[in-house]
Amino acid sequence: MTAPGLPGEIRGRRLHPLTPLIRASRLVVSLAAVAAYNVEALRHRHPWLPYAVLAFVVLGGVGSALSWAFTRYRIVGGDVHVDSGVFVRRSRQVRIDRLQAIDVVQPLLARAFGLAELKLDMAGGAEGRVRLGYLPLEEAQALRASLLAMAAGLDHRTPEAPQQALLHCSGAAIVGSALLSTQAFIGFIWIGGFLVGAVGSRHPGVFTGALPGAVSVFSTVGQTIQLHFGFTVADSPDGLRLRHGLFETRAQTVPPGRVQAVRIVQPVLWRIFGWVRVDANIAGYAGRRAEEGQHRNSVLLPVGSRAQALLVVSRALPGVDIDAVEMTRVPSRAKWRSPLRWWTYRAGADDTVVAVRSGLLTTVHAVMRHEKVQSVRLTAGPWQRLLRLASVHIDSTKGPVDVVLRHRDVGEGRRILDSEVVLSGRARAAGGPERWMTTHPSRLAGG
Amino acid sequence: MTALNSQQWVGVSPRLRAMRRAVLGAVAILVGAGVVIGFAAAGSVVGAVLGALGIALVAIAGSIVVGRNYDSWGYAERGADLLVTHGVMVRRLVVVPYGRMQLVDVTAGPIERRFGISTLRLHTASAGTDARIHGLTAAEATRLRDRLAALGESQSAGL
Repeated sequence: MTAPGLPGEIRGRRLHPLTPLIRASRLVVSLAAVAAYNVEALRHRHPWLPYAVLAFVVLGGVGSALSWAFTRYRIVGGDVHVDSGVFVRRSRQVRIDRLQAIDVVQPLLARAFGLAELKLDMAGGAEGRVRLGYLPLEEAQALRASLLAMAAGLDHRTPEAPQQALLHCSGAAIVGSALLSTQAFIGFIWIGGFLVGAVGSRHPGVFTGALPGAVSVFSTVGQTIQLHFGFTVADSPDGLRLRHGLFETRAQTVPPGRVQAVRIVQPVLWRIFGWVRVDANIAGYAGRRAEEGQHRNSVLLPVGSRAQALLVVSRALPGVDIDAVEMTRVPSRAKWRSPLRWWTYRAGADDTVVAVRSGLLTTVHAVMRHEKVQSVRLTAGPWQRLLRLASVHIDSTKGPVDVVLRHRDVGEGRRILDSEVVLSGRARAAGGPERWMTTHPSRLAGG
Repeated sequence: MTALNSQQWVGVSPRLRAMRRAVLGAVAILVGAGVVIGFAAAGSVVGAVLGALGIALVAIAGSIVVGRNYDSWGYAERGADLLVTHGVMVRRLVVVPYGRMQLVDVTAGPIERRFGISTLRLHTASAGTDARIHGLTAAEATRLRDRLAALGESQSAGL
């Protein structure tokens, strides 16, 4: 699909006129929900409140309409500029070659109007995120194709790269994995406990205590299903393409070389079906949400077999075979520091990656290319020093994946640190170009 | 590869130790005065003396801790990376390749300025990188910052 009438330079284009409506709709919906819930109290105690709410909504609507009227985007010399602001003008520039990922997001209402929002993620967390929305879906897709082509170092008129479907998660697997997550399981135990209590004590009222558990299960399971429903993974020369979402759909494109680190996670109950999840650190994806422990967009595969996970990992980190890395255990004296987990810690490195594995109930297998190492740290707490142990931290960008070689012998830790510094330096020097098509023209034919 | 042990570690300015001891001393004197006045007002001379002695002991212990912490600080500039080590209870060593540095900032609080020292922080794309050097003299901090910025630019690597 070529970009219809999309020149390499776009000057001062507006977003879709329905943008303020969609932006304001969330506010209206949430206010309406609160108002409906408290309608009696509102009418009796504060008769003026509905008018205040109405005024608030009108003001909000006018505000987003104004903000829309003053927003333009342009593409100049391969960079995206977004100019906005009614009183304080703000111009944000996106350097195409620093692009980490592009998402096309469609909330339910936007979907109804055939609109979509383009999210451009740069390195640098929440500050490095530029949202272009809302645009007609075709325009958003054409813009994405042209931005990816430019980021790859090709002409902007290059048609969107062909994609090859890798795998699809069935709805049953998504629902099942959500129900078997550790969080949901704790909720079920909570509910079961109160059920037993209610039956045993013959006071049905006891069962109301189960309510918080039910709410927690409902919200975590519901959130997972909404986020991951219909998850498909496809591979293309422009990188991994992920599509998912029940109400709000999201199409993510992660260009080659933008995946910083990967981990394969298996919560304890998933062992029944042999399921695993694949998470990744992608610079730009971990914003404010990351600090809340939510890595919503960092999932490369929400649920799948280990073979499927390895397939995704092999595409996310080309040329990496994570099972081929030879791993060693930690000295047995580490049991005095970490009595339950010491025997699960394994770590190793080869010429391209460093890999760690650990976890008693939830097992985590993390892997990272030497090339992507940001810094290397050696730490030893008092208890560790008494046991002549030390931990080596291989720092990656923000995200769910932590690569820490815990409780190694202190001399070995020092050697690991030294060799990691050398290996990562060498890998960085030999690193690929930011514009991924410039050295791999052969990839054009593939796909 | 050169072993880390053979590195030429550079310590930080003794003014850091002086500053921390001065702050500790000031706090001890204030608290001590409060305790002594409190006991004296209650008419207990023994309490006042014991209180003063106790706080003096704590201050001496604190001063030793400050000294050991000061001794633990060190940094080394190598060809491709900067090493920083510190910590008495928890020993830390961080290696930051120049090519990975995104930002170097030098800060000096009001007390630090009085003692003529500053703190240098290195930022990479990782939040885990905990590379800061306390107690650099102003001249050394400026020199190091400029050198790191220049090296970072020449060795910069894509994310």
